[in-house]
Amino acid sequence: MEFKYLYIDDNSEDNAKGIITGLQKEAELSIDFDNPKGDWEKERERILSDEFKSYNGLILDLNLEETPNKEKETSHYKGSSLAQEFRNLSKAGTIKEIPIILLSATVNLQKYFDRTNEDLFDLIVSREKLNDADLFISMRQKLISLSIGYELISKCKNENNNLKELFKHNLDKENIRFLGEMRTVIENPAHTISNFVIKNLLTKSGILIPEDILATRLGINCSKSEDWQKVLEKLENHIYKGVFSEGWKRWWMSGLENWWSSELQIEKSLRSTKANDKVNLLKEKLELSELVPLGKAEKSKSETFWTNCVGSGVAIDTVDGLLISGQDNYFPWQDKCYISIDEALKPKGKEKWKKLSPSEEFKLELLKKQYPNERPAR
Amino acid sequence: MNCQIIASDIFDFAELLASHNIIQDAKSLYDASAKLQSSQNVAEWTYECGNLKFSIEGAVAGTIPQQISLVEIIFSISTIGIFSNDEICRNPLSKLNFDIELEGLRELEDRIDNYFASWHLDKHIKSSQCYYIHPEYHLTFGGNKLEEKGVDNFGSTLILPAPRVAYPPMDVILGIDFILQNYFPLEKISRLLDESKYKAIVFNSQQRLWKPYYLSLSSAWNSLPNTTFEQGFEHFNLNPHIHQA
Repeated sequence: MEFKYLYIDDNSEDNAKGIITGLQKEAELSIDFDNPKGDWEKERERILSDEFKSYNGLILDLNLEETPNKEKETSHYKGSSLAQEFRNLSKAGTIKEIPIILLSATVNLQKYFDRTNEDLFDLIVSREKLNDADLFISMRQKLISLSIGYELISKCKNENNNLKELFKHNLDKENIRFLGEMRTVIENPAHTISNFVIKNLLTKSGILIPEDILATRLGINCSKSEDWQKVLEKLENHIYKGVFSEGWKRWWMSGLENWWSSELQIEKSLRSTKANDKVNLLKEKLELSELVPLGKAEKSKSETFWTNCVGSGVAIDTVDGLLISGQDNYFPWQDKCYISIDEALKPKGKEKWKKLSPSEEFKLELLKKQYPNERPAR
Repeated sequence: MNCQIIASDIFDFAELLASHNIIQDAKSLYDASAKLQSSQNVAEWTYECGNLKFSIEGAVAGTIPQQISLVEIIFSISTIGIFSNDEICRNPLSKLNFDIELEGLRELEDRIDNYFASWHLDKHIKSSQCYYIHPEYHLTFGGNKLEEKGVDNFGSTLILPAPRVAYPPMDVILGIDFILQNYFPLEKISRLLDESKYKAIVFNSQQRLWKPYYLSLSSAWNSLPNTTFEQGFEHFNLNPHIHQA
C-alpha cells in the first residue's frame, strides 16, 4: 500500500523538491505539496474537504508567514496553529486523526516555536538534519509507520482499548506501572497516545531497547562481530512488533532477560556478568564463533556494561557514567542516560546531551584534576 | 506475606531515596520491585540489584588517609528469600551475594589519588571448605572485590584475611540502611531516617530477616519450647563462638 502525505510550506515547491524527492518512494510513500491558503477559513475548508480524506499524514512548516502563495496571498498563522485546529476538529469527531510532522528550519524552531505546542506533533524535525540518504530512508520509514500506527491505535480504541493488540504482545509479565500508565493514556486522542509511545517508550530505553543497547547488555561489540546478525535472528521472538515498530526497531527488555535465563538457561546474571564472560557463554550456547566482546574504556572501572554514552556511544556500566540533566521526571521504568568520563572531559557529541546533572558537577571537578591534560578547551 | 508486599516496600524505598537526593539512579531498585510485583511465587522471593551508586561529597571524619573529598559507594545484591510461617524459625535467605565497594578520591595539590575498600556480607556455603571460623552470616572486610583492584594499590598496608564478624542477614533495604547509617553524615540523612515510611519499610525487612536470626540466637540462653529451628539455622550456626552450657 502506498501512503500519502500532504506537505504545506510557504516556500515554492521547487524549494521543497529536495526533501520531497528524498522522502518519496514508489509504492511506499508519496507526498503532495501545497502552499498555505492565506486565509484561515479556506484552510478549514481544505481540512474538511473530501480530497483531504485521502491523506494518511500531514507535514507542516512552522513559519508559514514569510512568502506569499501562488495567488499572492500571505498567511498570518503558524503551522502550529493549523495543527491545533486540525486536532480540535479531530477531537470533535469531524475528521479522522492522522499524524502531523513539523518540519522547519532550526532557526525558526528556536525563534517561533512555543514548546507548549509540542504534543500536537508526532515528530518535530529540523530541516537541516535531513541531509543524507540514510536519514531520508529512516524518516520515510517513520512516516509510513506513523500512518500504520494511527490506524492501529484507532482499531485498538474501538476494541475496548486493547493494549495487547496495540503492542502485539502478551503484557501479563510487563511492568505494572507502565501498564497502569498505558491504560490511562489509551483513553486519550490518537496523537496523545502516539506522543506518549514515541517519547516515553520508543526513544527512551527501559521497557524497550534499541539495537546498540541490546548489544551492550550482551557484552558484544556488534560492529566487529560477524555473527551479530545471527544473534539477532535468535532473538527474533523478542523483537518489538507493536505500534510504530516499522519506524523504530526495538526489542523487549523483558524478552532479552527471559531469553538469557530461560531459553539459553544461563544461570549467571545478565546484569552483573562481565562482557567477556557473557560473550563466551553466548558463543557456547549459540554455537557461534565470530563474536567479539566489548572492551572497557580506559577510565572506566566496570566491565558489566549496561548503557551507551549519549555523546560518544561508548559502552559503559552506569557506575562509570555521569548523569545528564533533565531526567528528574522520568518514569520508574525508564533508564537514565549517562555520558562516559571521556565525554565529560572532552565532549565529542555535546549537542546530544547539552548539560550534566547538577549532582555530577563535583565529580567532574575532581575528574578534571585527575586527568589534567584532558581538560576541555574553553 | 507475599512478593507484592516486598515489591511495594522496595518501590517506596526507591522513591524515598530519590526524593531525599540520596541516590540519583534508582532504576535497579525499580526493576527489582517490578519483577517481584509480577511474581506468583508464594514460597520464595528473589531479586537482583546491581551497582547502586551512592556519592558522599566532602570529608568523612576519621578517614585514613585524610583529605578524601569524595567517597563513592557501589552496592550490589542478589538474593533469594524464604517466606516463613510462625511455627518454624527458618533461615530467611537461601542465597545471598552482597557487596559494598568503596572508592575514595583524595585531592592533592597536583593530582587525585584513588583508594579502595570493600565489605562482603557472606552467607556460609555448607559444602565449601573453610580454614577459619564461619558464622552463618558474617561481614568480611576486603574479599574478592578488593583483591580485584590489584595488590599494588595499597602502599605498604598489610591486609590479612579479615575476621568474619557475625552479622544479621541483610536484604537490599537493610543493606542501604547499613550504608547510609555508617557512611553518610547524619545531617544528610536525618530527615530521611525520620520519615515514618522509611522506618516502616526497614521494620518490615527486619521482621523478615532479623527476627528469626535473633530469635535463634537468643535460644542459646532462653529455650523457646514452642519454636522449632530449621536445621542449619540453629544458634551455633549463626554464631559458632557461642559455647553450649
